[in-house]
Amino acid sequence: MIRYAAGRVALTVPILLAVSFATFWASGEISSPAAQLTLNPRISPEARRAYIESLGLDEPFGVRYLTWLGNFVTGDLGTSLVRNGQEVWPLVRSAMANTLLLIAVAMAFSLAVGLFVGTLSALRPGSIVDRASTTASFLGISIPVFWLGLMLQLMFGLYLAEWLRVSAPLLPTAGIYSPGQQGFDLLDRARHLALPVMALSLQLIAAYSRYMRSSMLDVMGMDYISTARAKGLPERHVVVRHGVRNALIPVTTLAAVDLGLLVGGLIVTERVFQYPGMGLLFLDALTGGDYPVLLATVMIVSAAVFLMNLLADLLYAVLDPRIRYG
Amino acid sequence: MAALIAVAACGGSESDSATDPPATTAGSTDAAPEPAEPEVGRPGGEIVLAVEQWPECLNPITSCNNATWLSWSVLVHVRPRLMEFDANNNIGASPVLVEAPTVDNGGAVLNADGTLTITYRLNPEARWSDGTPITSTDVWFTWRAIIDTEGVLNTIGYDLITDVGHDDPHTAVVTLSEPYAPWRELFGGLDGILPAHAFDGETDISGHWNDSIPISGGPWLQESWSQEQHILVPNENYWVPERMPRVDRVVMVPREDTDTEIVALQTGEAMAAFPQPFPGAKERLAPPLAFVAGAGTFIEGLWINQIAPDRYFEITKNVRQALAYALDRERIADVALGPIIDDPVVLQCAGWNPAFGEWCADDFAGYRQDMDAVERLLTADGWTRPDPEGLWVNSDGVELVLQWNTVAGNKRREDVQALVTEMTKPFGIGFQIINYDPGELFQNRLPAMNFGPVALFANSTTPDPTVTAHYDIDGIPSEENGFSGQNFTAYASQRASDLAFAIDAEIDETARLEIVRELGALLAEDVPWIPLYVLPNLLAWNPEVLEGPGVWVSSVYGGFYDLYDWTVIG
Repeated sequence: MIRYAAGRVALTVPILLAVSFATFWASGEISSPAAQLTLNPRISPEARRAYIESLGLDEPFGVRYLTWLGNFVTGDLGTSLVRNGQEVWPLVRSAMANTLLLIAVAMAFSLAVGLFVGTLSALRPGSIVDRASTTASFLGISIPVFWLGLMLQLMFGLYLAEWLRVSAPLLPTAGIYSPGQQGFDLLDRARHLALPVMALSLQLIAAYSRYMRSSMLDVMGMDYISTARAKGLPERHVVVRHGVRNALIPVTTLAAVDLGLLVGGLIVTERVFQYPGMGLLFLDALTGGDYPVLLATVMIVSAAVFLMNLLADLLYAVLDPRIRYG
Repeated sequence: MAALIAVAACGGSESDSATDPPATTAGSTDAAPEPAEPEVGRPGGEIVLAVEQWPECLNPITSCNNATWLSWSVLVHVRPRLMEFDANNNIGASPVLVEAPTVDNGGAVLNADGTLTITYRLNPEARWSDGTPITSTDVWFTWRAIIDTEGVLNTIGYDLITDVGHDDPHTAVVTLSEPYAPWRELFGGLDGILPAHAFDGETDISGHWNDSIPISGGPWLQESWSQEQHILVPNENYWVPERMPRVDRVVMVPREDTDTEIVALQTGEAMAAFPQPFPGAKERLAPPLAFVAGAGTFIEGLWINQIAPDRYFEITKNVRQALAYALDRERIADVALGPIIDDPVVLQCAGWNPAFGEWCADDFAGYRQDMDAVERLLTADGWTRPDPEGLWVNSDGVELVLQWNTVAGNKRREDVQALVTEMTKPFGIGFQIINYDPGELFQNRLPAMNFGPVALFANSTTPDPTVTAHYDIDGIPSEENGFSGQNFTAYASQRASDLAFAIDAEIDETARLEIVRELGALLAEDVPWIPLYVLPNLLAWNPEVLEGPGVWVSSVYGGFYDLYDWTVIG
């Protein structure tokens, strides 16, 4: 397994290089800090040229890319082009912490609800509960996050408050703290997490419940379940110890893959809820042409996706003794 | 309908006094309340504002200040200026000055050797938030900082200064090597002055004030700033009683998504916002919210690149005029801005903004859809129209089709492209639409003149009528000048270029206006670009909780400028 893991890690190196090259090229195509100056009559051509030179944007593409790459592999993420020389790493670190918190809460919530609903559906296939959860799952998978986010904001920020005749929104619609809040406040922070977690969780719950239902149906038809029942074990015992435990294997690996994808897939959610995480940082860097920040976020996210995929594969082998990697 | 259009009235005169209340925008109604009279004492409370573009850093003179929102959300509230704009964008003395220097009072003198001397008499009452007086040394220091600091983008005008005399702490004598008409905006207007004592004599301030501005010379003092919020509290050492803030605290929070920004207003989490114009504004900002719209600082038009590599024929004056006669610009403005405001402003001049002074005349008003004019102009240039329903064709058999570029994904501009393409078909003029991402268009194609011949861009305007960047004949980007100019229409008129430079050199306002008029008429004749409309500003708020917003909607200082006058209801 160690050889397999080492091989997979080695394979990620050329892929990450390709990702970095493509991102570096695309970032220059999409935007540039200097592009914003082109039509500004208050900035003289000389000042514009000096600014471009000071950022190193006058260097050939290859030189700039290799310089960035050389610094990156030695752990130097560089400085932001648009934040007056601010270092990239503290920006990424802060955004990463916020994103990981959001993902952790959303994943925990989604797994708990999704697995429960999926199990319930599988135990009573064709029942009202099963049909309702199936319909809700398809709905959840189909709703785009930007629309869902706006609806949640209106529902919990406006309409529910009006119906309940309370003056303040039931839940804050954006940000990570209430305006004016200074210092850490657990309750305030948790309230601000609620809507982004809901928006993020809906699709996850829908997916996990479907996977769990399917997996559980497979498992509950296995011979060892019949054996357990024949031995006279209580049904609860059969379901939890023999059914759910085995059905969890594919769902667990799916969750590990999702974890990696989510790190980079939060752009819409973070934008809608003004949540200062990796997605928002990526978007700001992309629109501002700030390629050191952009590349740092893309490389970290790419690495996370690869690592989580690897983890998923390894977990599969750990959870299912029949799987062996040569 | 509470929402109304309030277009700033034109007016080019200087304010008479440093503390005159701003003029109310014309056409205001119940949606745009008058500023409240100052009360004795401070009513208190907290105002929460949604800010749609969050500055990345705060340094007031480096590239950080290329972000308009740095000025609107931070600098206008804390940075003192020598001369300043009122709500109608007329420039006059700020409270830092005893009076505005003028030619008449001897404050602005054109010397026999061609140099220009401006003498600013500083108000002895003026002081920084830490109690230190604002003196001529601060003016001198600001000049040095702008010249010496790495990464300063706007040095125009400051690079002409040869000295700032500061022997007398209450008199700053600025000497420029040549006449410079926009001198009022040096150390003022959108710029300001810095406290010399805050930087320990170091005139390269690039490493300072990137994440906080600890000293203020405005009505507000920055308590804290981060990527999550910005808090202002009253500057208790501010010396202008009429501008002392009436609330205890202002909290600004980023709401960069327009939907989220408007939801914040609807839910009461924010009390006011200054959003970009967006489709559906009239419906989404309906009561109980209120909003006013006014002419903004950006204008949009069709730029005609006369040396576009992808042109298939010469873009002569007749072709440009014919294009202008094929357009119904009122309908274009309606389509572009109708979903946002009721009465869009059609732009009738090529380079100035009707929100700023009297510079913009009705130069292009004569260009209305006119089939006879199109036929006359194109026929005179040798074009024929074999099929009366088809396109014009020149003697080489090439059809009159113009490549048209703009930023991909900008719905307003793409709507305009679709409309104009249909609109000009009956006139025998066709378009080939090719749009690009902003980086490709502005970074690569525009400076290399590799666009068009037609392009739809917005460009920012300033209250000063300088248009040299657009019409300088030596500013046509080329290999000779390293593709560094901003004359992106390749308009090679020596007369226009001379007039543009004359505008910059004429310090007498009346004479200056005459030159602007002359250039305006020439531009309408030559049609280097076709003005379309002024992009509006919107200021929205919840009138149930907030009183005061609406007056400064068209101001270059942004709709939040007069925060000191706003009060919380209840």
